[in-house]
Amino acid sequence: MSSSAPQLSRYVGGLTVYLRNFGAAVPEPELQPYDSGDIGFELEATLPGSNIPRPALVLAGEIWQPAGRRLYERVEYRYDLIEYPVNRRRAFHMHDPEAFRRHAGVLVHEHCEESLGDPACDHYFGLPFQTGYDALNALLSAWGQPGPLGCSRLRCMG
Amino acid sequence: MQGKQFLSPGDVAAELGISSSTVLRLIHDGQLPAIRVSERIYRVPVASFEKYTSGTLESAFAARTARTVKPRPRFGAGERLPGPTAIGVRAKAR
Repeated sequence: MSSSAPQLSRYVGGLTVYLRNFGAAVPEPELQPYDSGDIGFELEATLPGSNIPRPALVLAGEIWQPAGRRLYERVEYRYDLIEYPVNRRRAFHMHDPEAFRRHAGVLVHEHCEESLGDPACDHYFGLPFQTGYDALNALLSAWGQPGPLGCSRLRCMG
Repeated sequence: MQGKQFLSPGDVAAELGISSSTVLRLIHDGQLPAIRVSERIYRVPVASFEKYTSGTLESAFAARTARTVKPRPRFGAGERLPGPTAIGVRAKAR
């Protein structure tokens, strides 16, 4: 999947609006050039609801590297839901591809913590997300819902 | 609605005086933001409902491009990467 910088600007704005329309507070986003020549973004969305001990957060970010013809390809992402009020975390990540490819033959992994900071497994196998919207939908399906996240149903990578 | 964080399509229908199927159509059309909890279950955040009823849902826009160049972030920073020394499920002392 390749995108131009203007397309990515609209994509980042779209993700921001998507979160804001769920009541999240999201600072004005920027498409950020990096010293590596890549571009990307990082969003921190504060979700509505309980703020004890802290409000729930969505942390989102992607890095896109040049792919010729003024296009970019996504090479890394992170999408985290940290629910401080219910003390749990769910996350979908793609980073350090060499380490994960060597260890498990995969590019992406997931995190799942029924109790924040005390995961039963460091990394779980998962499926890649085509877009940030898909990742947000998957994360937000857990937001504020009663019962466990279901980490025990995931396959541990180590 | 007081104290609630999410509304069911039935709750929204009752608040708006419309049918649940109309609410589901609004959700499917993307006019009313909702979270898909499972295959057939949707929940509408109260904040989304309030934005919908007050006409303050935001429209998509293009993010600006930062003028300054920053160091490339490390998304895995602080995370123990998999490898020979970090394999397996942690034995929980329980």
